[in-house]
Amino acid sequence: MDHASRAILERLPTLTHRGLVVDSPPGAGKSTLAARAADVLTQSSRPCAVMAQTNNQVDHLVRRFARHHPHLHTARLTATDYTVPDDLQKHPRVRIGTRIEDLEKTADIIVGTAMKWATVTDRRWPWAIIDEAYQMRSDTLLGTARLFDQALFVGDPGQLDPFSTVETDRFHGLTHDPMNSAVAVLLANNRDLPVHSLPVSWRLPPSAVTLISDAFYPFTPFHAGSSETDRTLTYLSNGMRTPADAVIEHAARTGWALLELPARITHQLDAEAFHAILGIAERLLVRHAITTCEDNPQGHILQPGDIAIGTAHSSQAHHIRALLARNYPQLHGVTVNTANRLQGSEFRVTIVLHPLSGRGDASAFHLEAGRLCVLTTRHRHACIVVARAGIAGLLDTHPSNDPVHPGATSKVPDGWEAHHSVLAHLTDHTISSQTRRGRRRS
Amino acid sequence: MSLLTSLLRMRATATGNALRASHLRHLHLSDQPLMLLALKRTGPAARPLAVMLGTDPYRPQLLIAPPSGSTTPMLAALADTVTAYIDACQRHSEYLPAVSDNKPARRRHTDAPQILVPNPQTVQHLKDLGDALRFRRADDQNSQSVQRLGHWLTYLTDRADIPGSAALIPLTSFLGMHWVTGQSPQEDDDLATLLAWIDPPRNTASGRDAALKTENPATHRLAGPATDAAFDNDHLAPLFDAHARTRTQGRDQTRTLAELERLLAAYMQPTWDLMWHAYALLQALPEATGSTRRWDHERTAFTDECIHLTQDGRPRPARDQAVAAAVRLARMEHAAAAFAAERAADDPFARAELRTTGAAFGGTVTVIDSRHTLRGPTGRPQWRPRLIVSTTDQLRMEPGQPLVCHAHRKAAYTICDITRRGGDTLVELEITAGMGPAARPNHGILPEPGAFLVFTIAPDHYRMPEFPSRDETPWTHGGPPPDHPDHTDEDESDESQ
Repeated sequence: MDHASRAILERLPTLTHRGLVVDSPPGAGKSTLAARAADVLTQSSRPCAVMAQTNNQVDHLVRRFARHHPHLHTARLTATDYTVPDDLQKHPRVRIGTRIEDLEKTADIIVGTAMKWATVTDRRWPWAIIDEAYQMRSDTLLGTARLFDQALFVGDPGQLDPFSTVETDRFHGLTHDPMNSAVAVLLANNRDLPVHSLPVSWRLPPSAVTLISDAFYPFTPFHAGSSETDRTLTYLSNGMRTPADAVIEHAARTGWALLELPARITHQLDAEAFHAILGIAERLLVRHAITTCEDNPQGHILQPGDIAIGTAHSSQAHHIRALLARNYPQLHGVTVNTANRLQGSEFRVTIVLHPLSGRGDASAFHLEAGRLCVLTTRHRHACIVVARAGIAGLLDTHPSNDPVHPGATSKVPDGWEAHHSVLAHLTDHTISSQTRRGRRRS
Repeated sequence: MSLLTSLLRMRATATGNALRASHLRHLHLSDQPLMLLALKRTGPAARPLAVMLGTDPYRPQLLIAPPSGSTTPMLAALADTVTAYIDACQRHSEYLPAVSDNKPARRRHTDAPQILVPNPQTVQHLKDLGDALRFRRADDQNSQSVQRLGHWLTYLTDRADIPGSAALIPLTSFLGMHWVTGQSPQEDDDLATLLAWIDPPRNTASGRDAALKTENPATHRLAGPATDAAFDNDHLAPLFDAHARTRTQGRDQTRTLAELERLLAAYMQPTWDLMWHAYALLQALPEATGSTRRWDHERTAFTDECIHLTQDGRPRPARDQAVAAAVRLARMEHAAAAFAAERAADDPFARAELRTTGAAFGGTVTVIDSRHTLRGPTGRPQWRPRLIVSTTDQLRMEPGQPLVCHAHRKAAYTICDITRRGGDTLVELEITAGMGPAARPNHGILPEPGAFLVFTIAPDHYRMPEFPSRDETPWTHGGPPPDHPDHTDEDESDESQ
């Protein structure tokens, strides 16, 4: 709990504005803040409505309430077609219901997805807390705003923007653009609302913070909560001098590594890159990686569950999962998912397939700053990127040429520029898959 | 562009002939569409130059805006034709009985306007024109009908944003939905070359040769709304100058105007004929069943708009307000999802494309367990027949995925289990809807063993989110908008499209 969070919690009960926005970089204790704020607010009025954007996020919050705030009665408002995980169903202090009538009488805190909250009618409470508010589309906020008088909005401005399946040009520049994030619309219509930002990332290691803060959060810089000596990654066994070994050794030393495969246009499914990724994960486990951090100063042996593999497309994630199940049984338990699905989660080591790897062009989807930001900010110790050579050239031949719309504001920097900054940083951490010795290229 | 479209495009490039991308026509085509070809002046945002329109291919009406002075008389003439066409669609209506409390009995027009334009740029031009005209002051008869024209243009161009709508269709996009050519998507924007690829004249060897011939700058005409720079410089500018000279000298202008009309008629006629050619080609395609339902919605929307005009009559606002924007986005998303789902259900070509992207798989039914039952939450037995489908498709789904199948529209399926055996994948499915109660099972839902079926990802169950009314716009979105205090909620509560 840092100073900034404490100040926000103290201010909250006597807030005269209708809302308060908290911008939070990755791993800055956003969920902790949301949970504590709910605790503070329930002292004066009950229940407090808590909204998150996906069922997964809601389940995480409910678990946090049940574990860290056991004196509160927590309720989980859920849709009928979603099955709440077993541990929550069995939990004695968590009530689960599909109708607000079943929960509102006894609960101190009711947690649900914003989409589910939008179906609740004829209720109004003094306070609501909206978690991951930058992932929330403003039309969802429009459908839920009647439920509360005041609200705390917590979110990470650097993550992926909400998206739609249809052409939405006609809404560009409107202060209430339904495609914009809830926070953007809220602030455009209520310019006097106080905005706080959390200054410390407890997740990201010191090696990552400077790059991420500069590339993705130029307007709200932050620093690391841990020191270089807190976060270590070492191996019990010696390596075999394969490129994969060189990569994980380099990542252990510096927190970053880029395995560069020979240049080739492969479309989305690049079997060589998939095998390289799984090979790296395998070497991490085979060599018994030990991580130490503030929470585990005595050391922790890296388990499959501590590793995540991130991709841009779901077809890539699916192929890697299929390969993993078939050829790498020892990796069972490794999370493989797209950037969209990895939002909000944390791992010790992440292996990322670069969104532009193997591509012949760079579209807006692949250039989106939020996508790269999510992929490179999930780790506590090291992030290993796998990519085909030639991405810098690809970026230079495909500068982003999206039209700029008057009135549209964004807290996210230009994706093309962010890609270049990350790539420039990674050139010092590049290991070619073809050099036997794993020579560093500088 | 999906992999399959890329492949078809390459194949078309290799053979020189366009390929069909769809088995059926997915948009309703009216028997009497209003064909509209518009040219705008180079320079000003929405100053028309000429419009050729009509429902008869052999007798188009040509309206010319004078080189200088007011365009109102020309726009009033355009308004008369368009409004007369739209009014003709209102002549008959049908009675729809009440379905439920929130859907009372109502009348619906049996027809709706359908305007065909050559390309998406013309849609944008009509949108600009609608924006410019619908707020005009209605002082006299002429400006009243011009304002009404602006209103209808806004309605039609708004409809054109909705996927699957057939109120205002750009022909190049319409053709592009059904054929794939061997040229780039940018080149497909040109109606003349696109048509040459799809239906080359008899004396040419291939679509590519025909397209090359049409590109001859001496004969090629842009399909509007912008005109050729060469045409502007060599033909229009001298006439405009002559017109200006006669004006300043106070001489009679009819001769230069007649010449302008002759020039523009000759310029537009080839494209006019091409548009009817495209119409005939599209008309010949068998219509998909889903397009009837979408046309019903089109008629509902049209009826609602007519009611809005008679009861309220104020022009649609220049910008969507917060609630209206959210409602529009929700409708567009719903329409897009419904259109995609119906295309997949109707068209084997659409299903093939989904199979290449992993949103569908096709396989043979190998095992049918017709006895499988479950105990429901109340303890009553529920009939849940199971099937095993063997597929060679790259499966990108996981157990629990809800599916639908084109052969049994009412049924719903869920994947229970996936096992890989060699190159084949065995998918075990449970039928979760459409099988009737255990007491009266509907055995028609069970496929024949050995049948080849394609299963696609079931579209999300759609429910129109509940938005506040316009006057209850919350503080997060700036509160209720100040203007139009008595503005009704339009048709936000009545959700149909």
